[in-house]
Amino acid sequence: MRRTRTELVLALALGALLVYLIVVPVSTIVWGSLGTTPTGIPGPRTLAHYRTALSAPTFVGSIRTTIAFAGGVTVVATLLGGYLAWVTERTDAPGRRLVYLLVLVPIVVPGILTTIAWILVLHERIGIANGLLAAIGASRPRFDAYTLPAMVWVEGFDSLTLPFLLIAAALRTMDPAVEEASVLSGASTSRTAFRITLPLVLPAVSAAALLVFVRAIGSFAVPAAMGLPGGVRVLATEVFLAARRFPSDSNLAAAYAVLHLALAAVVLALHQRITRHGDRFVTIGARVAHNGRIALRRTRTVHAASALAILGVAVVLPLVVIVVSSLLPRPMPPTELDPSLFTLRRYAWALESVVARRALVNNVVVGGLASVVTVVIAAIVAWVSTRSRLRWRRLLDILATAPIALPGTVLGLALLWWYLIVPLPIYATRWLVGIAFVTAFLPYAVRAAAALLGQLSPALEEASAMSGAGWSRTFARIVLPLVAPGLIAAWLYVVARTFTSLALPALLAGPGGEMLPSVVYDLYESARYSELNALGVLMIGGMLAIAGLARLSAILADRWSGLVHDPSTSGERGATPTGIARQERTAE
Amino acid sequence: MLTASVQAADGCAVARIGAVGGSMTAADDGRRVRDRRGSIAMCALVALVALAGCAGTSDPAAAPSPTPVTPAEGSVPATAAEVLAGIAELGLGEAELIAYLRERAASEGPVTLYTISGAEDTQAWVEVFRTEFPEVDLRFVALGNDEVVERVTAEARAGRQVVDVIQSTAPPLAALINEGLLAPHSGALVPEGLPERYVGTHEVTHRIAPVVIPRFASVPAEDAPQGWDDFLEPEHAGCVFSVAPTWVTALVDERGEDGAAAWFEGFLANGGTMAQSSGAQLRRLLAGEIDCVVQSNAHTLRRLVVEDGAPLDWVIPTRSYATATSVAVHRDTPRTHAAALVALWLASPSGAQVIADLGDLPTHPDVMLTDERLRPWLDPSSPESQRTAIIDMERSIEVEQIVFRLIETYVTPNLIAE
Repeated sequence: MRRTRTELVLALALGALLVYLIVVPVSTIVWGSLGTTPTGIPGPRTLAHYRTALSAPTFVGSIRTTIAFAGGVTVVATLLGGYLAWVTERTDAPGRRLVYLLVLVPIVVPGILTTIAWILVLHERIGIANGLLAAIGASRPRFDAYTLPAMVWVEGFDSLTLPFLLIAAALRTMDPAVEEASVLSGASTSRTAFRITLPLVLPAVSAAALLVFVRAIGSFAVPAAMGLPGGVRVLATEVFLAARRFPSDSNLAAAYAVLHLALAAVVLALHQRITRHGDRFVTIGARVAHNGRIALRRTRTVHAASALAILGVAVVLPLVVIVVSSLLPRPMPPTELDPSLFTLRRYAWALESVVARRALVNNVVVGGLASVVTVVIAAIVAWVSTRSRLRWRRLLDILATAPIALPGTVLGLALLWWYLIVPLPIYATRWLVGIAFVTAFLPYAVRAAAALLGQLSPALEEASAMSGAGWSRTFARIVLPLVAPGLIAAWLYVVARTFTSLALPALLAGPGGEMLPSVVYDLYESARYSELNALGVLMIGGMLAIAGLARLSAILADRWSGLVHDPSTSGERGATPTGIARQERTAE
Repeated sequence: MLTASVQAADGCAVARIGAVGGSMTAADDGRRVRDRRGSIAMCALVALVALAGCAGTSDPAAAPSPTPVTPAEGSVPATAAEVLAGIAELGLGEAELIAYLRERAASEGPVTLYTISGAEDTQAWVEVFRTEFPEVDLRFVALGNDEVVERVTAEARAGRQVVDVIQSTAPPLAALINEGLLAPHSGALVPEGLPERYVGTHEVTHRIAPVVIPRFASVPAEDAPQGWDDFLEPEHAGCVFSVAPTWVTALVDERGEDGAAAWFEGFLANGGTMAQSSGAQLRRLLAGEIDCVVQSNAHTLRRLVVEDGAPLDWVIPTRSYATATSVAVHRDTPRTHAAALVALWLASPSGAQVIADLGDLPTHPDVMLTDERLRPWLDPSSPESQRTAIIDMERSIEVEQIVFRLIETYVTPNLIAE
């Protein structure tokens, strides 16, 4: 009874917080889309903006293109991410640690840098790929950066981290005994993978695919930089153009935003439906302490090489282009690259720039704090939705996951309008960007926290409660320490996103409140590409260093506690009864 | 039951955590207390998020002033326009005027500029300004043309004004004038010697940018397109125009609405495209992606050519126009003197020199341009200057609706984002 009341109070408080963070801005956008006056100004309501949006000659085409783009991205990212997850989690292929490291890199690379790098690789006339083909005798260019397939390729590569993490978590919790039984029955590795492993993790794969689809609907950098020059328009660019048109029409922009949101929400609802049943499915092996990776034997090297080749193209190639571009004094055709021109001048600029330094401080303070708040809220939301006995606990989970369907531009506009209306002194402060970060990245932290708690036996908390500890003591002394490594990883993920999220700081920053993504956008707009790439390389290096330090501290903490047994070093799985090792790697 | 509530009091949110309806007594067992601690912790988190808003008030850079303008002298009228009119009536010389403004600006607090110039460029001249006027805390937000209008208008309508002074091109400023959001300066912001052509009713132009056509240095100037109609010729097919409302205004100014519409149709039929960011188009040009860009960002082009050694040059079209970047004081600023000081200084020889040092074209005749190739352009007697239309505010206001129609019909559907 006491516990139920605590749960109820927690759920109500969380519900109020989530409604404020998520429902209020969305309502602002919806209300604005029906208005004839700027948001916040009284005026008659109308559906005229929806009529304008729906009757625009480009609208139907942009819906079709959006679905094709998001569908293609989903296929590419889920297939590649799933394959890489299988190689690292279920096989004994060598180089799994390197695969793990490389697959996380896209999180810390600003999307605009990757996109420009890929344009230089895939451009029809000056692209590296066509240059190589011409060198081996191809009669005509085969690649064109400004086409839908190229957009799918680039966004698919950039998105493979999310399905990798989700599918890897599911594979990790799977009972390997069923695979072993298949192998012992004479099935080949591929037959076992497709007939046994895949069906077992299919709900997780479907959920990952739908999340990728939702994210692709909201993706902006690739459609803007690669789609528009080629006349390929998706809903995200329609929202952008409606918001950036001159003279501005915020009500029409809101109508586009709501239509965009509706499409994403339908897919998200489907995702929620699948995961509701999928959670039960993928936790089959959570209690199993078992050793079992599939022995690939002769194909070990083939799979390791395939995984590294995928990441070589998807991750390393654009990184190399970014690094080389950062050493050039100015943009130049890849075919005219002259190493004698290489200079570190842009790095000196990036380190000395007053604006970049101010943005770095803002990012560290606001991004760091927002990430802490995000992870704390996520941990409690995850606890209530996985542990409480409230009938409507899942509603909190749905609410907290909903912002994944909010494109950055839409969320930015909504918050801008809302905080102009409400009498809180948040508008034009850096804290508005902080609130936007919490809202935008909560879904990822909630999913990570839910996965961690899903693998933690409730028996520990029950034992704590039976020993007389209250909820707060149990949460602080039992739950948090056990899931801390995973939450730190989730925090790092959110921090990384605050360093690469372009739309929110650009729309919401006030005086002196620039963040690094705003500086990146400013450099992009000012044709300072060498500076842009140098700053990008420093940002990527900084984030990787932080991640490395966090990883190192986690390892040291594990060794100190003596509780964790890292399966990636020994090839064993779940050596501890509480599955802490699995949690640690879940959020890795 | 515990609740967390947030209420507004005197413009600042107050978070209050209280116990309502609970019946906790000393006899309750320890576990109940601990359970409640969890609830309190959660409620505190809710309150913390609300209080984060209050934390914003500690950020002097961004906190909008809740109070109306407070004139420096008791008898001076309250609105910015009236303050500026009062200053103009004093008839002070430039040096005296600057001294007058800086004395009063010091007590007005941080002044906020919304600018369409990039953050890096703005930071450069803001640092010089701060060195000259350390008592004035000038801060800025770098925005796009459309964002300036959107944010200034939205702030005014919501009564949450942050901006004090605005730096933009003519069409956005014209839109703000039409909304009644800029204060007429009554001559208070005009430095000595500034040509009449650069002074409007609400704004003073401090920087101009000619339309230029970048070309590779290896391509002779005569082979580059020279004017509007050249872009309709097959040999210049596929050219990219960096769109600004200004150049649409220039087209309308020269050819009228029908003539401008005909040009758009011909340009698009010839494979032309339109882009928002001239900087992005310069990158594409340098990378060899495209062959032709028309744009008015001489500053960026000059930096690429002079500082970065890019193999580019440019031509000024036979019939050219210029985008004028002007500065104006917001109607409702409570920091009129500080805002006026920023505007006046930018157009004065001191500000103009900084503009020139950054590679832009200042409007003050006493300042020598650093780039000799652009120097004749500012000389009123030179052929380059004679054939150039400067898009001033009055003309922008006159043709605003025509420009909007053309943008809606031809630009928006064909715009590429870069």
